[in-house]
Amino acid sequence: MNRLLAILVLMTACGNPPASPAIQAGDLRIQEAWGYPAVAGGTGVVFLTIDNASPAPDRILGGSSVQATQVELHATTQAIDQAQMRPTSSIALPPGRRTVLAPGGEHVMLIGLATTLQRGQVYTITLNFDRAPSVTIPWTIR
Amino acid sequence: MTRYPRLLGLLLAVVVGCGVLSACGGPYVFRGREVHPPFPAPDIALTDHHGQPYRLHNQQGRVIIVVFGFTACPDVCPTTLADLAEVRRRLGDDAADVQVILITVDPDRDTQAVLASYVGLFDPSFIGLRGDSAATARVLRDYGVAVAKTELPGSALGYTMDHPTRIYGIDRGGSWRVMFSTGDPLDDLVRDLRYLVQERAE
Repeated sequence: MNRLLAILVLMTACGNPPASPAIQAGDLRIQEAWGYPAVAGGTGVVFLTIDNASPAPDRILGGSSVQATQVELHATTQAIDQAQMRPTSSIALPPGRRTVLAPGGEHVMLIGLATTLQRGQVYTITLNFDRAPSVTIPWTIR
Repeated sequence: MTRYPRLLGLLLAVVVGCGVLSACGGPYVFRGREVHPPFPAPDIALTDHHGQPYRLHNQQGRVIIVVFGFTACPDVCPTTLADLAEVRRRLGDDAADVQVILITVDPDRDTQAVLASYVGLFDPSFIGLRGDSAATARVLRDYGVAVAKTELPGSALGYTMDHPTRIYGIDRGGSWRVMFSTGDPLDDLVRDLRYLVQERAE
């Protein structure tokens, strides 16, 4: 925990921090966690990259964050210029594959933000999986 | 031996000339979807995030980028705004003549205060606009924006607003000239907007 804190402090001090470091959770390797600026009381988003080295499939089931009253999983679909966003119960992490959560697709959503998320700041979020142990990762506002 | 440098100079002049004129005397070819023929952008009469009345028709002389969205939209809307902030950075000095406007499609949740905090997170020059449901509906109709309020049972968000991801480009003369979508290459926007900034106001 102290090490994580040290990394966070170091990154915050660097002005425009680089991508968050890779974090291991069982067979999952999580990196490049980031999100957009958002206002206190509003809605935030976390995008990330997960490599599942296990021969078995895994899933993101949800999460929690001190920065939000609720963490949900959502997916955006776009059809002919029209964007729709709907909740989803889990995000699939196929075995031996890299899953990239990026704008315009599946994402982790923070509802009821406790604080305004400013560009360059680093926060933490805890993710829960079907198989892998829960893990707390840093994520950066870009 | 002396003929080649002269030929090279001529070639260089042609190449540079074409670059300046964009298409060697032909009309500029937009990378976005050109609105042809251009036609006057419908007026927008709403209130800005400072609480001041805003009329699009009073803004002539600047290139205006109009997008529709809402602040509880965590994905597409911030992508669009972050992209437009990056486009303004790449435009350098030309960005001074490009005004980005976010019109909320969710005026119930997006109060003036929320809009004021939100747009400034992306670029301090951005303007957020809102209106009552009648004023908002008029703008949506005039711009052909279909918005569907969709309840999200089981989500703390309560509801979402399905909405288009279009980006409207309006020239200095107030004409609707070009359209983009979220996710289009940013250099396409930079190139087209630079053209609109630099073209002589007609």
